[in-house]
Amino acid sequence: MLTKLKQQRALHLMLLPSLILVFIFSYIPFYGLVIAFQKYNPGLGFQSPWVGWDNFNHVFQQPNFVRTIWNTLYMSAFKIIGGIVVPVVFALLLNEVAHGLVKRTFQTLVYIPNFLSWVIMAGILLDILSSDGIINHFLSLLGIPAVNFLGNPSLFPWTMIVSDIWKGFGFGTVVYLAALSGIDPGLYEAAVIDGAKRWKQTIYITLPLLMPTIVLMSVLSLGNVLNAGFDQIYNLYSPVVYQTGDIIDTYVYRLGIQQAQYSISTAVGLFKSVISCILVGVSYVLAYKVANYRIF
Amino acid sequence: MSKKKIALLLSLCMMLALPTACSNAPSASNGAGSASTGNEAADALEANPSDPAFSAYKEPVTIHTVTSEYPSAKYPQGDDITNNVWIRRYQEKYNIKVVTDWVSDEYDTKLNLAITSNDLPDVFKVNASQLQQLIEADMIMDLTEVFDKYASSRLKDYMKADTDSYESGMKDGKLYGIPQLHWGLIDQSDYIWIRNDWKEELGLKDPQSPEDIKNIALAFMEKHGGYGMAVDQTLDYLNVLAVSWNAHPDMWIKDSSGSIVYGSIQPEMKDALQAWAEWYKQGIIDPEFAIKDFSAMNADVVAGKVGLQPYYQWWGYNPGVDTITNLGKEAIFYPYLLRTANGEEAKQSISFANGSYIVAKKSFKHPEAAVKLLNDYAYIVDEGLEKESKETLSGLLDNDMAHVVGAFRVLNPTSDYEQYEAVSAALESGDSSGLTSSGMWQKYKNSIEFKENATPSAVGDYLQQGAPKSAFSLAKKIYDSGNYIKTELWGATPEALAAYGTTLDDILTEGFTKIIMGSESIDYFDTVVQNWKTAGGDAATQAVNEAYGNK
Repeated sequence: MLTKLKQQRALHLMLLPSLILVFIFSYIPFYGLVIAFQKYNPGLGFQSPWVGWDNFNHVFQQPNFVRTIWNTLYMSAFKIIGGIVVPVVFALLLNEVAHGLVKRTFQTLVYIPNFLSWVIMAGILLDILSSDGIINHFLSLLGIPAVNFLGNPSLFPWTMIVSDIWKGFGFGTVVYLAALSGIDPGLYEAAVIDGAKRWKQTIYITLPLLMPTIVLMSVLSLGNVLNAGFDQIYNLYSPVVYQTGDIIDTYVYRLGIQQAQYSISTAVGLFKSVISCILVGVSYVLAYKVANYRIF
Repeated sequence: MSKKKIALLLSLCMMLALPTACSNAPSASNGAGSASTGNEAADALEANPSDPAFSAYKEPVTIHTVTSEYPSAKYPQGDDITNNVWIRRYQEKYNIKVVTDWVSDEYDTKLNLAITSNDLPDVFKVNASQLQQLIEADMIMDLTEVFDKYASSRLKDYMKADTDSYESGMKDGKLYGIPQLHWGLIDQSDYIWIRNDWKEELGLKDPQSPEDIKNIALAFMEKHGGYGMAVDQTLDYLNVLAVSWNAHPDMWIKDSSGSIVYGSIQPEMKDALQAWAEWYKQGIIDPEFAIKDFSAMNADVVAGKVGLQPYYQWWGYNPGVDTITNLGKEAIFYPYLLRTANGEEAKQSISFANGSYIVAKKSFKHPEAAVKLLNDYAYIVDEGLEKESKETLSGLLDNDMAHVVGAFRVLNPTSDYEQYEAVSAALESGDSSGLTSSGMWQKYKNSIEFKENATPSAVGDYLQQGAPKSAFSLAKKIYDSGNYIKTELWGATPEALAAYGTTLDDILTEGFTKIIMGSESIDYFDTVVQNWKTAGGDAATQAVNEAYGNK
């Protein structure tokens, strides 16, 4: 191992600056986690009185907290699934388009929403989803009564899921297209000689070779399972859809951050990090055991 | 091998982490020196000791402060919030040099950071919870004696006019935070605003009860279509009407036994909700109110879609200006007092109005310098018109210069009341000699401007004070007759209540919205209240009683 390290010394040195940055900005602040166990007073700093698990108890005893966990998991599960399936399918379809200009145009078009912030996007969505907005106008032409996409508790999560996937799938598409272009064309040539048509080629060559990228993206996104999209939901929800639309982050925002209750916010943040860490660990092991794929 | 490496890494981590941790911890030594400068020589005596409130210093005194930007202020070329007519005045008149350490739009966050790192300026403003935290951490000064000795009699009168707010800055009988006060409790009345051309076109009478409001809404809807009344998703604007049912949502009130209870969960609120649910069914309340925020609500008013809006006294400023610009002066809305079912004027809700406090760092040597600046501000605002030149005064107050002083002002809590009295008297008699402050002059001028030329930008002042049935003319009646209830939570929010953030109110807003929209029956009210209680409402009520009960 040492000899290998010596051979690659230059490479490791190049890694060093980013390692230092990660250390400074991601590891040192770990110290701040102690305030999850304190009754934090900014004036007293880390000398604030210790309260043990009180902050956690306070949050978990809130009758509505369980509901927010469920909403979070529900929405982020579908967002993650959709966030994998949609770009993979779209990338496969786009890959079949022979004309380079058309392909690049579509690729750019679906990528654009990814760059808009949710604050702007929410303004647009509020407009087009309102009762006299373009979508309800279209529905009324088909004789369907106006749908309250943002005010109906049973529709709200799906509005969030679909709009989130729509906004984000351009990024995934670009990643998968890159992976697709890396597949050796010789494999397809061999398959054609063996008599495989487009569909068979996709099933037996493209998808298996795309699998490592899909698994990587899934494992990475599992770490976000407790982040159902604060920006999006905070800008679009209202009291009438709290029942199905309130997620951990929005709830904690109203519980703690608005009133500068740092201890409570930190406690929930710690809770989320621990769960996410476990999930990433589990998915890593699963990816290895099931798909025989290792990230590291 | 690799274990050794990990151990090495870990010890490295600790070495790096410890100094950072230490530098974050507050220590007595670094608090004293860093922020204050050497200018404050101990012999900085006053030029005229017989007049401590207004006398200048012989030697320059420096005050470090922090502030937030005031976006609508228009500075002369070259000036900004850290260097402007006020800052120069402090220097010239009192030999006090005010240095702004930082300016931030995220004032509270940035200040919390400064508190955490013990990097406090000398004099600054804080909110109620920061005040409590700073007292607890022993970081700010007891200002009792300084205020007593140096505050002008005018400033002391301000405090006497609102002793409750004054006491909210004290702990154990000592004054730690000087409240910045407010323009006056007269500002807080609630009204129903009705579009005048629609009302006259149909020959409708002034509303004498909630029933009348309903009928006006129905008449408007029949004639102009759409829905009847603009409200928003927070229920804040619908709650404006609650006093008509003797309900006081969002207020802590005394019940018959003398203990403090939360107004939103009282049976009167149930009556109000029952009526609103009926109104919603009839299409009076905006069918989409549940997803409309403040600006979406006002957009419909400005677009002329609706002729009724429960609102506060500042309707004329927003959405009034845009409404008049867009629809013309005929589309003006006028305010009407809310009445109960039997036609009596409803008892209004008055909530705690003092938002911020002026505090001084414990090690600061010249807290009296800050009090002098407070005296000066009060002098300029209240007496400036008589004693200073027009140019000086205009420079200090116009173009929102009156609002760029950050921590260095206390507002006159009777200013709006006095202002209205003077302005209405001047408008009636045509004699403007009674206008003693520049604020009065501005309201007077704008009221005439709107009456004569219907200038949209003047409609705010006109509807607040100058109109025949102005908002303040109605509020004055309420205020003079004492027909209001003040919240018992007059001061800082108790810790046990603050720990719930807005989640307790959210439970009520969510449940009430369902009742109004008809997805739950009115009996659901009791369930909502029960949820509120178990979610922490009971604990919060107890905390409020402990802090403010039996006073």
